[in-house]
Amino acid sequence: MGLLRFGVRRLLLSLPTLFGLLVITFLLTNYLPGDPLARLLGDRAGSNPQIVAAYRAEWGLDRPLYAQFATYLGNLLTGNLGQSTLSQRPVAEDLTNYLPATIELTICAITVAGVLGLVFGIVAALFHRRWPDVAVRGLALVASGVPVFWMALVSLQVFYLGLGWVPGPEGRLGRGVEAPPRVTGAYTVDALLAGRWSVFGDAVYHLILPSIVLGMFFLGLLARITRASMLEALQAPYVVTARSKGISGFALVRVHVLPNALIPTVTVLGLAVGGLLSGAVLTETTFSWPGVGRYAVDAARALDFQAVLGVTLVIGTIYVVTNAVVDILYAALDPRIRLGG
Amino acid sequence: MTTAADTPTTSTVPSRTGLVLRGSLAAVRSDAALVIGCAVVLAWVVIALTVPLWKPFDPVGFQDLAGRLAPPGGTHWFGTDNLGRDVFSRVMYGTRLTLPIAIGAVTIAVCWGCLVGAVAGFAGGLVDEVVMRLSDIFLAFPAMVLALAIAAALGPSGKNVVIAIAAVTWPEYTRLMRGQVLSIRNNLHVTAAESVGCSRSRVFWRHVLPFGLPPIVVKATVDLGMAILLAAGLSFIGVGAAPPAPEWGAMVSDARTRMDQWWLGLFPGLAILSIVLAFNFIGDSLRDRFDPRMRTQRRRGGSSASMLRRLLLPSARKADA
Amino acid sequence: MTTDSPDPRRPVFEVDGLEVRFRTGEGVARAVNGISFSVHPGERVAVVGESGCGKSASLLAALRLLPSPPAQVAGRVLLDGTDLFALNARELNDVLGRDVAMVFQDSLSSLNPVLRMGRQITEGVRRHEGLSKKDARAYATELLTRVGVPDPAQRVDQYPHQLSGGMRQRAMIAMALAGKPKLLIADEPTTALDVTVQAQILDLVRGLEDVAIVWVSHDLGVVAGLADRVLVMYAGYIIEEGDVGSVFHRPRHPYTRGLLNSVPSFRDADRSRLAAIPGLPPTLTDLPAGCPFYDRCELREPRCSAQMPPLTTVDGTQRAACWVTAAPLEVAS
Repeated sequence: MGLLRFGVRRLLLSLPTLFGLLVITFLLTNYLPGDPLARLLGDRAGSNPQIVAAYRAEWGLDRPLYAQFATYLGNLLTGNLGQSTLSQRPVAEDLTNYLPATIELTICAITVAGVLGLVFGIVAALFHRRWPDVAVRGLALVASGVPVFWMALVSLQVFYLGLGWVPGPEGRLGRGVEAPPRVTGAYTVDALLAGRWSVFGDAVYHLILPSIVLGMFFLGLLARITRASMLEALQAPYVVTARSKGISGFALVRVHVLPNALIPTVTVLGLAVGGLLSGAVLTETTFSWPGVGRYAVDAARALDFQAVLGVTLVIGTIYVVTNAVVDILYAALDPRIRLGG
Repeated sequence: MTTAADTPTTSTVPSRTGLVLRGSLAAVRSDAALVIGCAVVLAWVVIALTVPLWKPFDPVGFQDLAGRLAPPGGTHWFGTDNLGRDVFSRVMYGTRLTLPIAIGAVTIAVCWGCLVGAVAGFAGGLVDEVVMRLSDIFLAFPAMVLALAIAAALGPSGKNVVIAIAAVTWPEYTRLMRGQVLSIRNNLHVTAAESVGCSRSRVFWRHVLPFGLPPIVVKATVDLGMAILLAAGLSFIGVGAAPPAPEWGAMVSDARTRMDQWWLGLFPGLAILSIVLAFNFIGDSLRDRFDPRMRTQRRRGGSSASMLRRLLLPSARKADA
Repeated sequence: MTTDSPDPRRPVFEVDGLEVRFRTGEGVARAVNGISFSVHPGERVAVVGESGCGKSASLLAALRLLPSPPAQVAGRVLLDGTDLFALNARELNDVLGRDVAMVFQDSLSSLNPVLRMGRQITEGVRRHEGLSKKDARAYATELLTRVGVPDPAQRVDQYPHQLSGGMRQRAMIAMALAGKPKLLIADEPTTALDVTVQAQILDLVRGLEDVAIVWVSHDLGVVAGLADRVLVMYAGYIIEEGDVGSVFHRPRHPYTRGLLNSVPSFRDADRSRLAAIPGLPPTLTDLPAGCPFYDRCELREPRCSAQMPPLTTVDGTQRAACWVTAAPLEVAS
């Protein structure tokens, strides 16, 4: 079928899901229990008839359902996600400000946890039933059960208060450190682009602990799955065939075991992004990280529904697209999927 | 499936319940993880049920402002919080909030999800398509994000947390159940039952469902742990049970502003960790037990022996193809 | 190539007192119990027996392909005079795939699903000879042509799942032949194929020159069509061996007779029931001291359960291990 055709098909298949996403957020937006307008606009604005009328007009609340939905879609396409009652700014603007921080953190977490998870899983499988295996399995077990917000707290207490190895929950940069000129919104990238090495270093320094904490869950999951699929690949008949040709040791693992073992681990990536985005909500709060997670939490606490729903929509979309990309990646790695068998 | 009543020949054929009982006892004896998991869960359940009887201090009412923020020691095993409340009592009482929420949410999710999935599997066609799209949409949101949105929309309360968690958890049961129904339907014993005129509902309840249950049971066990994590997370954010309720997540949230008082956050978190791990242990053990391939690997000799088995027995090798 | 008289040249493969045990949850399984045999250059030897009789285990163990902690291997195996058990890992890797090669039963799971066929075929040779990628691909194409795969230039770049079962098995044979081995060990390579494809593969194998073949099978028809000599195994012992003609027409051991009887024929007097050997083979963790066939044997006598009979010459090169039908009148060789 070819990778390109597969890719296009897969992306097209996500469209109905995206549409459903929109429908759900729409329904949640407009059909909250109680007086929707009062809740959407907040108490103060909700009691002001002019604002209420303006809101009605903007979102077409007087018209039938499908028309409302059409208005909703139209508004979305122009980037109008409503107004945040907390920040008094358009939600879209808030998201543009906060999203890069979350993406930077998430990518860092995936990278760190991904590399460590793969390595741990491979080592555990190669040392099956000896102490590295036991250690990795123990770590994975704990990582799957520890609440991420608690781990954030405890790790801060240990590594910041106790050992002083990492900065405290002061955000992305230390006090007095100026952010680099914005190109992507990711401080690390932007600092590198602007040649500000010390800012880069400071940004990385502030990323260390949050990335590890956020990535813990993913690390545990990846280590377990990598270990399981390595063990399965190590026992596979084609490994015996390779042995009968005189292939052994590192070459055997590299050419025969790893490529087969790593394919299932790719599927974890999709799950991981979902887990990471969920975890970001909780981690950012503890580290005072100015990302969409913390934004969503503050908004939820303040009953700022437009903001909450805006975040939900954006994160949901990111998740759907990521899953499609992961499926395509999986097909790229496994010729049986790509070539249709 | 024959029961003792159906085999009139020899009286030495053990009844099915007897086999199950003996199997379970053997399982418990041989599987440390399962034992530990069950013990921990049982302990927490007992605590949840009995703590009003033996609590050292009232978790909400007792406030010793003079002795506030005291480290663990003396009469306060886990120390006191900013209002002088006993942390130990609050942690113990936390189970009474968390466990019902988790159990309630997972029960709703399993019942609803399995029902919908079974209907989709049996009905097929348009119903199936619609159901699968619907569950896809719910699965399109990361769990915490959707739960947050729902809980925020509905208002902070324990009941709404249950709804939010259930809403996030049900789709996977639908997929699971549907998959099971579709594959089991083609089994010979189902065809046999249908051919002698069993009604569709009888076929479902007595022939399909019992075989589809194992992975659902495994998942439900692990999901109980996930539900606890979600519930704690939601109350950490502040959209769960309202203060001064001694909910674990909320206690950790309070501890954030008082990082020097390490005991405020440590113990609630350990409580969460212990019970979630316990559910994971149980779930893992059950999964290993239900997977016929893994069963051979569990005996001494382990995976190398099963590898040999696969190499040496042509029938075994064919099964792997 | 068939020879009527014993080949005076040195055997290319000699197995001497090979024993394989492995630890299982139920005890120690004695999979192979002191078997000895030789294969001469160019000879075709078939190893026959039921599932679990030790035929695959013995050959895998001989090439040191069984994982050693659960498997305990003892004995001596000489390949063209070289003691395989005395080699270190590197020397062993030099021998495997070059002087001896194996063909396995299930081609789909015995081939790496993510590597192209050409690469898998020449992988061993590239390691041994250091061929360049281009030369290796050309060699692979040539090998595929030799084993009768149509459109070899295209197949070389394909993945295993894109080939049919028969083509894959031919490719496996090509892979085994790549190193120009002196000995080819085939472990039931046609069992999973349908009869017509099986016949084609057998034709292919029959036409191979300058290579000795050990062919494991439980299919007596295949054995009859291919082998010069046959070894019959049961519960880890060789209980009969000899020229195919002698063993098939004048089987001595009751088990061999039972096996041959169970092959249905239009000429059978009673065509309403299939003849089968009653009972089941013994469990390998619980082998008796005497003859393992005792429980199922019609001709059994008390002395059979006391001690395992040795392989005794009964007629020319045919030997059988049975107190009743092949009583040792002289010292067995």
